[in-house]
Amino acid sequence: MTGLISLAIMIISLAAVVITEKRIQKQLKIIATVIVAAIASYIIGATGLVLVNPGIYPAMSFGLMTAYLNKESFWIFFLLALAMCFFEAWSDSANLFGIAAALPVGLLSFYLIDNNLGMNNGKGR
Amino acid sequence: MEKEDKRQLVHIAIGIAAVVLLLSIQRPQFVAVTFAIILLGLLLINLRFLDKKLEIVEKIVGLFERENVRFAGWGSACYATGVLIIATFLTGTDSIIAGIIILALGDGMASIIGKRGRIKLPFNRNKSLEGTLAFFVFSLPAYVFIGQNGIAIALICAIVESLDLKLDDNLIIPIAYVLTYMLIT
Repeated sequence: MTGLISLAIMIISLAAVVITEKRIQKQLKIIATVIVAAIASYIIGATGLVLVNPGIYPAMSFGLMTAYLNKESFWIFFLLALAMCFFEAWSDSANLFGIAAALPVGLLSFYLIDNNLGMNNGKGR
Repeated sequence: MEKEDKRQLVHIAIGIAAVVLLLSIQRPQFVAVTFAIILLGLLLINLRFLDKKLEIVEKIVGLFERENVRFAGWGSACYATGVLIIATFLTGTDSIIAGIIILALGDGMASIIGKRGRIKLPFNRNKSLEGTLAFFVFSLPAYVFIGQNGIAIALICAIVESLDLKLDDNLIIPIAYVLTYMLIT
């Protein structure tokens, strides 16, 4: 049930992307960020190299939020990310460290997509 | 004193303040504070993008921000994120302090000394040998906290910092530090 709440928030977030962003290229960039954030969080947790498992949903939310850093609609994604963190913590899906670790993962995911994969090359954000 | 030197001294001072804060409170509180600072910083960056400028923020940007940055606050956000990476992915207070020292003191002094350096690195013309050596030397206080592993990690971080990577130094150094620390210890 609690996992469903996180999934619902993520679906709402992605729906908000479609509503607030009309450019297909930007939408693809955001979706790529979300996918990279999810994969990176999963891999970090699965390798067992570090003791902290970054929350997959929070990382996706933070990646999405970062993509809107220069937009008026940033606060929507900011609140959605906070809501995601709250429900993840409330449902014991992620602890403080898992949520905190998700922030760098989300930020880095967007940074890598924006900067290194040749998608807009950091311009026109 | 040049603006970049002032900027790097603030960079070092913030690192020292972070170490003092970590020693004063427990790791979970430190992570929570850093997390909150980053979120607040992102909100301020967003406000600045929307031309809703706060006087104090503008003064800080005017005093310390580089001119050729991605956007104002980007370096600071990366720095705070770097500290968060170290504090979340490592568990021991000593290892976190050593990481912050390398990030703050090593990187800060590398910038101050490096831009006055004359011997350019063959694989990265933007960085100098003097800067890389300064990074290594000023990262050595990490030895006090994590022992001889600190020397090896300082050397690896100095090499990583000297590379021409597309990632910000404030992010690549913590990542290199955490990975090296986890692999070595």
